[in-house]
Amino acid sequence: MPCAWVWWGRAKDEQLVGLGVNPLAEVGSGHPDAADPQSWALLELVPDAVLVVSAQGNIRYANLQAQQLLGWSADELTGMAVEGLLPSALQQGHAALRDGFMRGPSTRPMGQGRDLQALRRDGSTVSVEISLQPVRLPDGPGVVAALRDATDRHRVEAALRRAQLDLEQRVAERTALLDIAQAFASTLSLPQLLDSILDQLAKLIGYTGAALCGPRDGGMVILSARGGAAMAGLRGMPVPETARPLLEMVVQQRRALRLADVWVGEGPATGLTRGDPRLSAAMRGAHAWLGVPLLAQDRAVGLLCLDHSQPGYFTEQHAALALAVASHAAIAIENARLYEEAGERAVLEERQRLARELHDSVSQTLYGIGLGARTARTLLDRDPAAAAQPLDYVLALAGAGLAEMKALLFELRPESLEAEGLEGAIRKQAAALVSRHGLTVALDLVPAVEDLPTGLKHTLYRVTQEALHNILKHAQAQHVSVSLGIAGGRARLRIKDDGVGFQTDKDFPGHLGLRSMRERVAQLGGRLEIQSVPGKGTEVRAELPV
Amino acid sequence: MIRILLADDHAVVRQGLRMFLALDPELEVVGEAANGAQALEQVALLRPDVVLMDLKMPVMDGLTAIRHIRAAHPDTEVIAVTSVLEDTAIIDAVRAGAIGYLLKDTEAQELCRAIKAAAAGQVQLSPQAAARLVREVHAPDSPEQLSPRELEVLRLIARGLSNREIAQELVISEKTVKTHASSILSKLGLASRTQAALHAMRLGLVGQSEG
Repeated sequence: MPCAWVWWGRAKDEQLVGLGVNPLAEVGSGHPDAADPQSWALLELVPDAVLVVSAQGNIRYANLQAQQLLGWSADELTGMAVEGLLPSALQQGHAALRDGFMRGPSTRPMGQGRDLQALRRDGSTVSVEISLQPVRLPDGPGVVAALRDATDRHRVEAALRRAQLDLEQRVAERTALLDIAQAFASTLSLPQLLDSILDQLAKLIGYTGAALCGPRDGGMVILSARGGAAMAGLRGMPVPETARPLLEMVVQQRRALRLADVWVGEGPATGLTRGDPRLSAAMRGAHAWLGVPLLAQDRAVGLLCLDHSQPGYFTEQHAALALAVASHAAIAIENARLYEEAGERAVLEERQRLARELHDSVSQTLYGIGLGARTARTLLDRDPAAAAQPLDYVLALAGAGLAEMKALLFELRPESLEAEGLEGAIRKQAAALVSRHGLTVALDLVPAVEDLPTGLKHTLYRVTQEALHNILKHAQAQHVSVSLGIAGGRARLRIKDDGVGFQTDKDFPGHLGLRSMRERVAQLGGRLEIQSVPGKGTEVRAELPV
Repeated sequence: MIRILLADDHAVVRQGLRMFLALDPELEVVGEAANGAQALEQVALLRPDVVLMDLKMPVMDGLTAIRHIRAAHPDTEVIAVTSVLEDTAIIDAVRAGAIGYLLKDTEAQELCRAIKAAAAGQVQLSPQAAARLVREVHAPDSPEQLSPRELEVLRLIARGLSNREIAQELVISEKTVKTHASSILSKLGLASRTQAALHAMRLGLVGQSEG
């Protein structure tokens, strides 16, 4: 018997590579010799189903595994056309394939990359992998086909593919959410942030058009829009009256609303497609619609709307994702609102402070100048020599007024802090104190403070200003010292006076100004301390991280 | 000689006023105060005829100081001085017991005249101000009955006459006029002649245009 042994192998990837015969035993035509039907008994040893088939497609032999897999007995299989094992749709044309194989036979797996099906006796089909090996049979060329049940393998593969897709999706979601969070941290401008949220959402969910609606000036406005010129053109537009019932429904119900097709049916959805011409133009080509509320701390602050050209596109998972993204947008909108509010309050406070400063300094100075000038005018007629004193007073006041006016104008144009520097600005303040109130002011300012960030310099300047203002107003001091330096990674400011002082644990004059100073410093991560004892002066110390 | 106390937290204003008022031989600045509390002390100490009181001051504001001064020293008249013409500030000043008010941009001559009028017990309200204030300043609901003489004095006060003019009109001494005036204020529970004049207008003792 030329066939010394049979080998049966699998590659590392579990792909069946086929039946072989010891090449040393090969004879003649170059194909393994299987001419002796007795040698086929060896095929019973093989763990897979094996068929020996003639070139004409007749089954010559089927091992036990083949009988079990296909449900036919050995007798039934023997002599049966191999086409009888194929699903009816594939039976035609198989003969041609088989002939093709026989014309250029080679050892190979069959139908690579395709899901091959075998027909069982009971009419059911089973997924199989098939490997082919040309052989020589007693009456000419033939083929040994090995079949393996691939049902489990397919199931495992499908599960793996799903897991993989799922994982990829999760990674994409996390990445997008992370990108949103980063955009959040890196930009303060609300429009930019909302645009970037919509762009990230496009990667996550995929939409034809998207819009973010939020409150502005008491109404609901389209804050950001994406997807086509008509859609982008909606930005800044108030939400049209007709669309409101639908959008309000989403906001009030505080959960996602999915519509398969906005053009089908009646109800609030018609508000998107009929009514406002700009909106319906933007909705042209859109079918599926998804609306989710923007919830910030359980309060609905707006709405995210997505549409898609494919009807019924949005799934429950899309809705869940959109809700997650919407919460980012909600926080951004809420943040921006709070920021704006704080800004407006700051502007108002600033205005009141300037009004107070103008009243306290410039208007009083001008009043004094008026009185002095009138006095001098009267004395010119009566006793011209006596007019010198009031005129000197007028001149002194005019000088002081000028210095104060400069300081105030300086405040109105904060960029001048950049131009004059912090040191110059504080010197100016001190000069006004000296010229108008006759205080002595000792300054100790290190030049390195000019290298501090602008925001820090402004705060240091304002604290100095407020402290000097309080001294002037309440302390009845003679001497003031201001020192500003940098040590241990902190800017240290100290303003000290020899005035009447106060009890720091009680309400004291100027406590409002001091409170705002403290807030200002705390905003930059610093600390402000006030030490005072009645009759022993006051010391204000501010420390800010550089 | 009219003795004046200046109460203003701005040293430049006190200095300017002192200089200017010194030009008038009838006026004498006897003291200065930088806040309401100091003003109270100085009034008790110096007993000035007239106080020029800034309303916005630290420690104790002008309104509080006016109330205390009018309660403790009814002979000292107070003129409220404000920087801006605000209805509320003027109404509050008259309610607190100021005989009149001045804006800081008032002509300097007018300032001297106002001080002299206040010292003479003369109520000065423009018809517009009177019309506004008459609704705002109230006497208690059931004031004590005034004597016929007091009613006559009240009517003349409301017409803006000075103590001397009232004395001449009624042929009594100026001192008696002052006694009647304090009696009227205490019976009506009012803090100033200006409040009394507004009360008289409300009662119809005088027409508002006479005030």
